[in-house]
Amino acid sequence: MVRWILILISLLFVGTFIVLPLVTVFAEALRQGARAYVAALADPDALSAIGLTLTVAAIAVPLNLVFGVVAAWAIAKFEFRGKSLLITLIDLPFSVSPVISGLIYVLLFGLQGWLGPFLSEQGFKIIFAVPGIVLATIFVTFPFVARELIPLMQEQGTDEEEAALVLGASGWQTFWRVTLPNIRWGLLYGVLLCNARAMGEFGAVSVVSGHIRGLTNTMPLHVEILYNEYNFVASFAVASLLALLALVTLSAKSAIEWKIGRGLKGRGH
Amino acid sequence: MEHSPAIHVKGIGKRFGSFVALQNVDLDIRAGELLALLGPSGSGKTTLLRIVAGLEWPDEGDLQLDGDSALRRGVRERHIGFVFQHYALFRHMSVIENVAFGLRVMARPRRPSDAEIRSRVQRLLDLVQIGHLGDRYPSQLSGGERQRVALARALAIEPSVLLLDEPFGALDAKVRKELRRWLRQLHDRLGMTTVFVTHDQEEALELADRVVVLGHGKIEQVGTPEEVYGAPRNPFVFDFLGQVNRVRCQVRGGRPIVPYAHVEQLNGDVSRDGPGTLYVRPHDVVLQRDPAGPATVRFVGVVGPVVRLEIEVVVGAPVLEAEMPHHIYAGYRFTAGDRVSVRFRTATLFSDVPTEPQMTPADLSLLSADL
Repeated sequence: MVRWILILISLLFVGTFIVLPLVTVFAEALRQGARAYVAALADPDALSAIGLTLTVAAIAVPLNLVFGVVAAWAIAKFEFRGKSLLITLIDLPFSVSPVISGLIYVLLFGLQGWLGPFLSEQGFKIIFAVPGIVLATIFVTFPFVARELIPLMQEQGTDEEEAALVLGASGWQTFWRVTLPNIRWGLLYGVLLCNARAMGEFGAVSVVSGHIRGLTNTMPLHVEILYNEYNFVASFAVASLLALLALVTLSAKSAIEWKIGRGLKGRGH
Repeated sequence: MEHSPAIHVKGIGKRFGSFVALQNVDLDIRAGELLALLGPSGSGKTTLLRIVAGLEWPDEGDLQLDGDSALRRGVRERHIGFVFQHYALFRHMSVIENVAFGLRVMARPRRPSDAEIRSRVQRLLDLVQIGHLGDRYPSQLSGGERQRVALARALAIEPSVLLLDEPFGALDAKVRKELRRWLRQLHDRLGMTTVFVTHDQEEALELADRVVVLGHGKIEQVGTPEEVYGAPRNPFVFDFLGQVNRVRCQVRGGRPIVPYAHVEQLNGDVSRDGPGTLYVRPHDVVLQRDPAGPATVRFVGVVGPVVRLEIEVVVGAPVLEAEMPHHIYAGYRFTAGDRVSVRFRTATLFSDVPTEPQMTPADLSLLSADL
């Protein structure tokens, strides 16, 4: 009895707060048929927003991948002073509101900011331009890969790396042949989450973007603008792309978890 | 036959923070011998092994492998076979790829061809008797099988020296005995200089040509198993190797005075009068039924290869342990409460009076601070 009540409550909750909105997104996007849906996505401003989002993710995700591996390696495999401070700092973007993260960059690089005047003299524009969006996105998404890898690498220890070195492998060979294969699924998992957040980030990007149509609008910002203009079909059409991204991420994540779970139980023949 | 040392350790010292792992360790390891580094945990035995391998660096001292200083060479260039305590097999590689690793990472001019690698790996797997397990992954192997893979992997690079860190530590008792015998045979067949670390005295005494007993970062004694067990050089080695009774006594006029026991054969230095301790193995405690004897039998244990007895000499004092074979015991049939007289067949005396002023580690660090 208790079991059925608990299951029912969970289903109702998930249905109300997760499935229903998801369905709504697609329903609203297709309200006026497939033609209007495609037209909304083919709009030059929408295309430019999609392009910008992909560009930003294409810069932020690889950078955070490298940073995440480096930081996790340092933290998991070496002892050094200030290690716990570094771990805390890596978590900072999770604990700070994204709007604040955006404002930090405005304060640093804006025209009234510390570095802004100097940079604008050199001809660099960061705030209300693509570099600012990239910076804010990197800031918001940098914990994902490192957070995923630190516990994994700590658990694996340094034995296998030491074994590789004793057997004559160089540091580089050890990384590619031993360390990386051991963390590959965790790494992919972290990259997926990082990517989903990089493409979906609203708050921080909204502060630094300036909302210039066709120039500094990412997909989430574009959705908001269209919605505020009562252009619901177009707004939900772009939103449906983000929702699709979420679904793809989710299934990839489940596939990886399944793969990892199987690996732990031993590999069948 | 005179061997030049394969490994020459000179004045090695190592600290981890304030913990002194090794101090001033000198050791010559002969080519082709099977040597055990034996000691309790924290005695520095694993640290010494890792320094030889190049996985740790000493703070002071020198290390020579085959006559060259090895401290200028990194772990990669030392060309040493190392078997880790928990094997450290590459979990994402098959057994074959694990064993082939050392060959695959060789620089191109020295690297054997793929066919050559495959046949060498198969020969090694056959050597360690797991030729049929090549396609398995480490997670699919038993502890003993993993151990053999680790050994084959270490041997693949044809090292001049083989180092093993607690090679049998993670195995259950039965497998451990089998593998021990097998490792000895393998060593005799390959003739490779082999050093293994263990905290198990039985393992060291049974397997090794020579045993190095370590305690608190220092070498306490080096010798054949007979030497370290039969003639321990100091109380630490006595305590660590086998059961021993400690009997307080007074040395006077070249004799240790024990009121209740007669010492038949005495080892140790009796030149200084004063308090001391006699170390007596349980099998050297000889009992005789004697109604007027000074001691009382408190416990008799007849289960096992020998009969164990506990003897109370003074009420409240630590009991003496005695051991005798079953056929001797059959002639006496002691039971709890019997009065007995006590003889020590062999006893070793360590005087409490120091030979010369001994320097403590604290004194030493003061000295080095002055330098």
